[in-house]
Amino acid sequence: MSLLRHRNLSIRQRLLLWLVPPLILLWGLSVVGDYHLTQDPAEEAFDRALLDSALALAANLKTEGRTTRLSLSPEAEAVLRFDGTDHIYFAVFDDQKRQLAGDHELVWQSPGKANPTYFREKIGDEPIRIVLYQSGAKDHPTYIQVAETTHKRQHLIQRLLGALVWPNLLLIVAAAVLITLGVRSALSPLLRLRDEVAARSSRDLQPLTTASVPGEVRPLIDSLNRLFGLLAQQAEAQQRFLANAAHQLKTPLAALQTQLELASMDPDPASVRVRLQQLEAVTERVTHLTHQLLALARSEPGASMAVQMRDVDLQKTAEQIASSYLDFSLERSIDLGFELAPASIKAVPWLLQELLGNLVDNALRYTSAGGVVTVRCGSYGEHAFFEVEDDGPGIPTEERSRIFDRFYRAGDLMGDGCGLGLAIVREIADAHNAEVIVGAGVNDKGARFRVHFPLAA
Amino acid sequence: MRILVVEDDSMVANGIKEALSCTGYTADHVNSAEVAERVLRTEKFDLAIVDLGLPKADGHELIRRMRRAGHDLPVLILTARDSLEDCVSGLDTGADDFMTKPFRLPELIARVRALIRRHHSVTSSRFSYGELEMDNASHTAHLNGKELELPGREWSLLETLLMSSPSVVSKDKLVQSLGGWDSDLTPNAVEVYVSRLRAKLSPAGIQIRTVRGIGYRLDEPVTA
Repeated sequence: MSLLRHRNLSIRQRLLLWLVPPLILLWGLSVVGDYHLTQDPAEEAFDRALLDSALALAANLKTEGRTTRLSLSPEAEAVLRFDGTDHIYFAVFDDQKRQLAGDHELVWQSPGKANPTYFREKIGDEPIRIVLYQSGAKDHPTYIQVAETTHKRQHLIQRLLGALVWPNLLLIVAAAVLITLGVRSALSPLLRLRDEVAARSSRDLQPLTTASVPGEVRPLIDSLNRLFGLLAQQAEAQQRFLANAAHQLKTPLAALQTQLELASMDPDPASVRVRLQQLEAVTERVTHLTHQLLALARSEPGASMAVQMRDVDLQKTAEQIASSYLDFSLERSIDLGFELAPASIKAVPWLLQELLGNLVDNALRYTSAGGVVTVRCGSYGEHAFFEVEDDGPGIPTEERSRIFDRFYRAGDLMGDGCGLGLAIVREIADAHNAEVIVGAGVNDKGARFRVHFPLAA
Repeated sequence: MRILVVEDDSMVANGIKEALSCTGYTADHVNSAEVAERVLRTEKFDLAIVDLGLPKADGHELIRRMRRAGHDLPVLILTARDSLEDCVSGLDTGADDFMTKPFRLPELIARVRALIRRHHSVTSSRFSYGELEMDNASHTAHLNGKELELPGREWSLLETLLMSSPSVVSKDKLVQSLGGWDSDLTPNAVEVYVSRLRAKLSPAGIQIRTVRGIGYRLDEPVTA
């Protein structure tokens, strides 16, 4: 049965393994059982006939005083000895083990507890069956043996076996064939399904047909179809995203091309310089967008994420952010400040940096010169938090649910982001079981993004 | 100062070369790890800028071979594979810093300067920052050629800021760097030393910028 525990066995193999060997075992048991059931009564009938002869002999015993003798007419002995197939022997012994009459091939047998007693013996090489019957008075018994060769009995056994084995075997073979056919037919919907799935192209995300599928498999098909549906949705979203991304890339590239062409024709060095400065700004936009696209692609949940999780000091990560964004804030004349308290969380370090960086970047982009952006982190209760607050234009309540969508950009804002930063933030937050809460800053001015992380255990 | 640029894209390499020579460095460009190894055997360089995505042997391999051959010059990794894991593994094989493409030239120059400065502080006792010269052996500092009075705590503080530039240094770290002088120094005391340093360094255009809530960063005067 250890074979059945083998995981790679097909259902067909499992079914056949469970059904066919036990069937053969049952066949063997039934043959043995049937044989005994019919052979025992037949043997008893033969034995009874043997005993009848012994009783007939007993009736012909004459006891006179201490001596007993057998008085059997030759006719009666001929009747006794008559048998078509077997040779009959008989013998009479007294209690002194002396043979009084009968055949000398038979020797003294000690009586058993029962009367009559049956034995199997041999005369020469010939097996015989003997009945020993005790007759006469208790204190002066006579022992009568009648024996016969076993030809009749052996013929019976052979006939019995022939009658039992062959029909049984036929039954078993028929059952095995039927089982095989049944298993094949029962599995055929599954095999059809397998072929249908195997023949599919990777782009075909149509649901599988549930008609003619057995009830047990139906939940599996339903789950598969649900998965296909999700995949189709995802593929569609990806298409939309790609189209959007290409569009977003094309716009600055178009600007680059125009400015380059104009610059190469421009005879005035001063105005060429202005154009070049514009080119730099556009290049930076393309760079930023490319980085964001990559970050988004990498922050999508994957199997490797759990492996990369480790204890990360939120405060240290925020301090690193300071080095990365200080120049950007100086360029924009924004006062970038920090209020940091210790907090440790489980995170993928580079993703966490990406998340924090995007929130800070976002605040710096959407706050006008002279503004204040403050970064905070710390822990309370079961949570750690990271927060970026600005005194920019803020986000109207009705837009707050949409700002995390990819390529969504708050309509009338002057920021030059590409609309991916917050999508990245949400993607990474989701991967870390963190929650992002959008609100207004101090005195209802500006915006405040707060990320709640579960504390590291 | 001589810098080896190992980069297979000639447009990027030429840009870097030009920017470096504008800043006063001599730059040599090779386009494969194999040539870089050959050049390093015969010539002396102060720093190597290595692209990770080289043909044949890649940047990681080159750095590993360089370190095995005993070259201890600082190495700055340049890579278009902007995955942090990639860069971190680069640091593990013996690189000193990394930048992802595309990058801004001023940032590249700042990193190069910082790497060379840090390397020199290990190999020699003298190091410079703009117009500021410090000699750790004689414990003397010069600004614009004139001797600068720097008491012990101010010296330690300036040295820490200088070695970390262009990164921001937290106040806690500055307090620790002064640990040898006072056992229980408060962050407020750091502010006092910083303001003294500011007064001394401002004539040379060197700024100590306050980063609200974290600490300070040393900013070199922008050279055109």
